Amino acid sequence: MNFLTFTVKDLIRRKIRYILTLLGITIGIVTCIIMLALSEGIRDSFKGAYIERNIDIVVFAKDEFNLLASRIDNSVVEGLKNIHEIENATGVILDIVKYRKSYVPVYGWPLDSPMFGEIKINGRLPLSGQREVLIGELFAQNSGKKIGDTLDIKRKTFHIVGIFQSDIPFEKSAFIVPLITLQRLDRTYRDTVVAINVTLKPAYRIKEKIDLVTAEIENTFPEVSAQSSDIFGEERTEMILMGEKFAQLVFLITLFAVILGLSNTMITSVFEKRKLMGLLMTIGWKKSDIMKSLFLQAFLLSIAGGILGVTIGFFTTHYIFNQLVIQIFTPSWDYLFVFKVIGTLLVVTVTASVISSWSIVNINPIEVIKSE
Amino acid sequence: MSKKQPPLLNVDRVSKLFTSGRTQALNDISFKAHQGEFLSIYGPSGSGKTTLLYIIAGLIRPSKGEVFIRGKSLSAIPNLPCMRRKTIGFIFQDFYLYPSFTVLENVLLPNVNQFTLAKKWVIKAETLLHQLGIHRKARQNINELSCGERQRVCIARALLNDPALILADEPTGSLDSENSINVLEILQKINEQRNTTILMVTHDTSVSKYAHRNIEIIDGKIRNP
Repeated sequence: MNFLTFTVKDLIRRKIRYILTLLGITIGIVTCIIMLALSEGIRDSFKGAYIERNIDIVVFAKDEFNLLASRIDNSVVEGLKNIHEIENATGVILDIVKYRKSYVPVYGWPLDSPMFGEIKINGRLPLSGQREVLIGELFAQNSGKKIGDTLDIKRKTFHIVGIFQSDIPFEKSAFIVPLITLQRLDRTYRDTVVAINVTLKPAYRIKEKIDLVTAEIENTFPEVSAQSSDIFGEERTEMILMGEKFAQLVFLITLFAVILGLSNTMITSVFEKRKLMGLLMTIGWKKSDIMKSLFLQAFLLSIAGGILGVTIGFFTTHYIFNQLVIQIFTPSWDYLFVFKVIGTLLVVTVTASVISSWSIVNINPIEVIKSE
Repeated sequence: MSKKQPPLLNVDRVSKLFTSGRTQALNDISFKAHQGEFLSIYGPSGSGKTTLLYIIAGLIRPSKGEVFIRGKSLSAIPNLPCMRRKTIGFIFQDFYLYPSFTVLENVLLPNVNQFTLAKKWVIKAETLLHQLGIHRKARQNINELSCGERQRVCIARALLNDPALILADEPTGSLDSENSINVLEILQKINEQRNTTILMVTHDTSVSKYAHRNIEIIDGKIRNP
C-alpha cells in the first residue's frame, strides 16, 4: 500500500456513495458537453458559412432581423456587382420545409455560385430550373434516402441527384436546390432572394474597408441592410436559442451543481473520517498530507466522472441530434472544446477539494479521537 | 537503562488550563524518563493522565512549562508530525484501527503518506506481525480479529518506525484479564529487548508491577514525585 492505493481504497470504501457521486458528475459533464457542443456548433456554423467562405458582407432586407422573412429584389444583386470594391455577390434563399415530422433547411443557390466549390458532392449538380435536389449526408444517413430517390419539397416531388458533404453544421442535413427552381416553386421568392453574400476584392478585405463598403451599400440601396459577416454571425448566434449565453448559463449552473455535489460527498466523507484523520495526525501525518489525499480523491472522482461524461456525452449528443432528423445545428468539437471540458474538471476538482479540505483545517486530533 | 545519560523525556513544570471549561487539568507536573525506562502513570479517571500524554506527544500545548525530548523543547521542533512519526509510537485503549484496511495495511499507516512506500517497510511490518504472533492474519480485515489481536496490531503499528518512546493510553482498558497480561508482557518485552522507553497511562494499579517506576496523578498533580 502506498499513498495512492490508500487514497483509492479509502475513496471506494463507500461504494454506493462513490457510484452516486460518479453518476452525478457524469450527468453534469454530459449536460455540459451537450450544451457546449451545441454552442460550438452554432458558432462554427456561422464561422464556416460566412467567414471561412470568404464572405465579407451579408445583405438582407432593411432592418429585417429574421432572415427567413427577408426579401431583396434580384436587381440588387446585379447592382452590387457594379460596386468597384466588390468581387462577387451571390443572392441566396434560405427556407425551412417540413419533412415528415421534422423540419429541414432548404438552400437555394445559383448554380454558378462559388459555394458549390465548398461542398463535396457525390453525384451531380442539379440542372437549372429542374426539380432536382442535393441532400446533406447526415439527412441521407438518417432518412435512408439515396441518389435516384425522390422527396417532396413544398408539395412538389424532387429527384435526388447528389449527396453532399459539408463542414458546416447548418448544412449537414439540409437540401440544396438551384436558386431559380426555388424562386419558381414558391411565389413569395419570385425574382427575390433572402440574402446576398458579398465577397470583396482582396485589397479591400480589411475591417475599415469592409465598414466603408457596408455603408456604401446601404446608401446606394436604401431598401437593404448590410452587415459585416462577423457581426451578422454574432447577432444571429445571440438570437438562436438565445445564443451562446444561454448555453453558457446552463453550463455554469450545471458546473455549480456538480461542484456542490462533489463537495457534499467530500465533506460528508471528511466528517465521517474524522476519527481516521485524528489518528493519522496523531501517528505522524501532516494536515497537508490529508489535504493531499482529499484533493487526490476529488481529482480521481472528477477524472472518472469526466471520462465517463465525455464518452457518454459524445455519443448521446450524436444520438440525440441524429434522431432529430432536422439538424439546423449539429454538435461541434474542437481542441478548444476539449480544453473547456478539462478546465471544467479542474475547476470541479480544485473547488470541491478546497471546500472539503477547509473543514479539516481546525481539526484537533485529540478531540476527534476522544469524542469517538 | 542508564540514568547517567540525559533523559529522553523531560517534563518540566507543565500545567494545562482548559480555558473553555476553566479546568486546571494539570498543575506543575515535572518528571524525567530515561532511555529504556518503563513508566506507569496512574490515577483515577479525570486526573489528567491522558492530557499529559498528549502534551508529551505535542498534540496539546501546555499552558505553562515545557516538554523536552532528547533535550530539545517541543516548542522548538518545527515539524512535530515528523518528530511524532519517527520518535513516538502510540498505543490506544480503543486501538483506532481502520476497518477498511487489512492488518498489514493498518501497521503501515504511519508511513503511507508518500507516493512510494519502500519495500523495507512492508518487510518490517510483516516481521513485527510475526514477532507479535499475528503474521497469519496479515491479509485479513481488522473486523475478523479479536480484541487482543487488535491491540497487538496497534502495538505493531506503534513499533513500525522503531520509536524511542511509546505512549500507551490505557492499553489494557478494552481487554479481558488474559489479554491484558499478554499485552503487558509484550510491552515489557519491547522495553527490555529494544530498550524503548514506555510511558503507560492507566487507572488500574495492578498493572504497575510491570513498570520500573510509577507516578500517581490526582487532580492534575503528581502525588509521589
